[in-house]
Amino acid sequence: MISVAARGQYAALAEMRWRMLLNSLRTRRGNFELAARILGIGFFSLLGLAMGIGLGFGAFEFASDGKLQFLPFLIWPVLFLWQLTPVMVASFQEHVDLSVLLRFPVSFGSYLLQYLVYGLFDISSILGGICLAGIWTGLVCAQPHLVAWVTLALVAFAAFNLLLTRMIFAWLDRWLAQRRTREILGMVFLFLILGAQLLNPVYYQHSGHRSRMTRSATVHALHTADRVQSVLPPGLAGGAIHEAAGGYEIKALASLGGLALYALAAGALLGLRLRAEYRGESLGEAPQRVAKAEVTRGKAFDFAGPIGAVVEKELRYLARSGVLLYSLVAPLIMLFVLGRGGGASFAARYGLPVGVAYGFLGLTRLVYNSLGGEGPGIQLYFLSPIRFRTILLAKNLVHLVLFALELLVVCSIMVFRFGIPGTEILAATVCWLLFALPVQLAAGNVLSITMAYRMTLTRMSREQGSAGNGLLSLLIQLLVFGVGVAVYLPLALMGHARLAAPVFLVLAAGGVIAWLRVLSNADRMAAGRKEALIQSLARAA
Amino acid sequence: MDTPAISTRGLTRRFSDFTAVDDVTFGVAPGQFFGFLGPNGAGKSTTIKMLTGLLEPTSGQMEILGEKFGSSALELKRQIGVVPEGMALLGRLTASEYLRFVGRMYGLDRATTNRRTEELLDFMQLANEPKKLVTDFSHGMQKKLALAAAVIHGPKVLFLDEPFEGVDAIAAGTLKTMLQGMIHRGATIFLTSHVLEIVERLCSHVAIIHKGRLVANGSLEELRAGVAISLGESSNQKLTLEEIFLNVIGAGAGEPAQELSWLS
Repeated sequence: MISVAARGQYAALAEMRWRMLLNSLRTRRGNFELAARILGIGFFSLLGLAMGIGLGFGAFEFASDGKLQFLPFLIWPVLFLWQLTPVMVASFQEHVDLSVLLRFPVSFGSYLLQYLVYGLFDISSILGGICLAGIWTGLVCAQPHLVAWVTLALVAFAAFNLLLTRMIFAWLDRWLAQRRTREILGMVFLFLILGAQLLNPVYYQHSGHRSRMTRSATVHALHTADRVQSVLPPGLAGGAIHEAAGGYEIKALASLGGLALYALAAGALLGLRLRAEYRGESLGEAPQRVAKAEVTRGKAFDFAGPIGAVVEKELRYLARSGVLLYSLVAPLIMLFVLGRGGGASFAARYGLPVGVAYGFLGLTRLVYNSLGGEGPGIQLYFLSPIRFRTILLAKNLVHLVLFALELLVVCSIMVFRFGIPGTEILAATVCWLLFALPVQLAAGNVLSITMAYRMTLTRMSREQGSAGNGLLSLLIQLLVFGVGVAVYLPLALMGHARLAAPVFLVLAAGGVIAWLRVLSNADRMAAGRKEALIQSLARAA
Repeated sequence: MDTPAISTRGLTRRFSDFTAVDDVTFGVAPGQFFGFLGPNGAGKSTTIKMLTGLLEPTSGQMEILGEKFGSSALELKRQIGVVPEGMALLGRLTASEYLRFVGRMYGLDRATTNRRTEELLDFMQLANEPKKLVTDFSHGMQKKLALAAAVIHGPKVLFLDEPFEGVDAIAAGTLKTMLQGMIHRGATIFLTSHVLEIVERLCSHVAIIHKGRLVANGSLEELRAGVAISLGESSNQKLTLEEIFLNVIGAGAGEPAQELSWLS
């Protein structure tokens, strides 16, 4: 089935990854990187285990009570989890770029297989797989005679999810790589967010008047929803098991066939994309742009000096990197998706601070790995007569502007959704931000120098060092948020919520001092890490 | 006597147990076109990295224009231009954006930067690709751009690590013209290259490094005479730099390389 040559290539690839892992363990940084990766996988596995156990119990109950028609209620969340997790972790988790294999005589089948195999180790696959394993265990324990049908349906559903996730990311890579498609995708995201925001009041308006809806209208709406979901993959997977349990094997087979068709469609779209990549498609922007007339240069950023130069360069890089733009936008989408949870009063009170803290996730890679996009250009910073603190200061200015823009969008979403929060929480949030921003920038500057990893700005490809940096940056962000909670909640419980703002202001002074100290020490730190920085950023991909 | 443009004394760099550059001492006079040769892995790039402040020496001293890297590092960097091993390009900028960025990083005012950028792009024949990103450039075009970036601020000393690698004959001609022009205007150029014909044509002085140690240093005539004496030949037949190089590193006199019989 697999040719000798392909087997040799797989073995070589596995050995290469193994050797890379072993070689990375020679350094303290490499050991930390591995520990961070193990910790990350362990954390997500535990999370998946908790969800899997819950889903397993649910499946057991449905199967024991003979209510397998409700199985899609358990399978739909798995689909959302599987497909949304990559978006949630997009800001700090990247994917392995296999296009480097294309210079070798790798067959298309091998290339496709490798692409899928790597997908098995994605966080979303681990989470989704554990959840499906939980459902499988629950169902099989309750009705052991269904083991074959349950296995078939859930494996087909897992295959569909795997193919769908990989297909989405393969096409995203393609669209983000070129300016024209990136702009179209940007507009789609924008309309998606705006459209979702407009749909939201409609949803709540209807839910508020639910009692006035006639029973028949409600039943009709539910029937319609059920009919629609029953022809979608989670409905088909659940339907196949339900029908098999009822003795309708032909219907069950038809549902499985439908599910297989969805998987085939996702696989075909993935194959289409990878085939183009395999044939040596160039994702460069040159062909589209060479023919254009020269545009007047640089008028928009007409300020002299190295700070202006770095700011201008950073903005140009950002505008040309779909991956970075995507990282900025992804948390905003998730903010909408996750924004429904919680009671109305809780959300109205804490929605803004939580949203603001979450919004910073979009800047994680930009702030905590601010040198990662330079590539060999990092040498220029060491060769030019500019202090490193000037470079970091210019980058921080860009970060502040970007965060201000994110803040504007986040505040608009939260205020539109929940209304303007109370004065106390608003003041506390603003003052917490004054503390959080300099602390994040200071920590980001330190990590950018000490734990930089090379970022590929046109593809979502993971590079060595990303896990360690990602884990630390998330921990720091959690810590900063935790300080906010630790200060505000006790004061609020004691009825002194107004005191939170001055406390945050004191902390903010400390944060600013920390940021300035990091900047003043930037040259020393960069000089100490010069060789490591050049080695990790300028090395051949 | 003029202060040497570049001087090193006992320059050494170790990576754990491996000594990449071992006790290297030499001087380059102002206005000299100096070729620094050696086989792969001999220590050329490591030496250039140390001379340009990209790598700390383990021991030894070095001075550029009579100044040491340290307190006057920023002032020194304004005086030197470098095409390092990785070219130090920013792939997601266009050529003109990159040159403008570099010019401003070196403290040039906007008008000067713009003027020099256009002149350099014209000279390097890169002006007809105004919207192409550097990452989409061919290797040769990237080399030309890296060289343009290294000279935009008018350095007194220019360090070039393999500037002719992957460059076609036309581009190589352009680069040679520019470098010779700089020498005529008093600049000092320190160059490493494997293209020995070009080094022979351009450089007045050559040093050869082998396994981290400096094994030859002098003008071309001095090296030629030295090798001729060691070979016991009369100086009637002029030795090429390639012959000198092979003789100095001891690769010319040995057994011929074993053939690979499985190659068809």
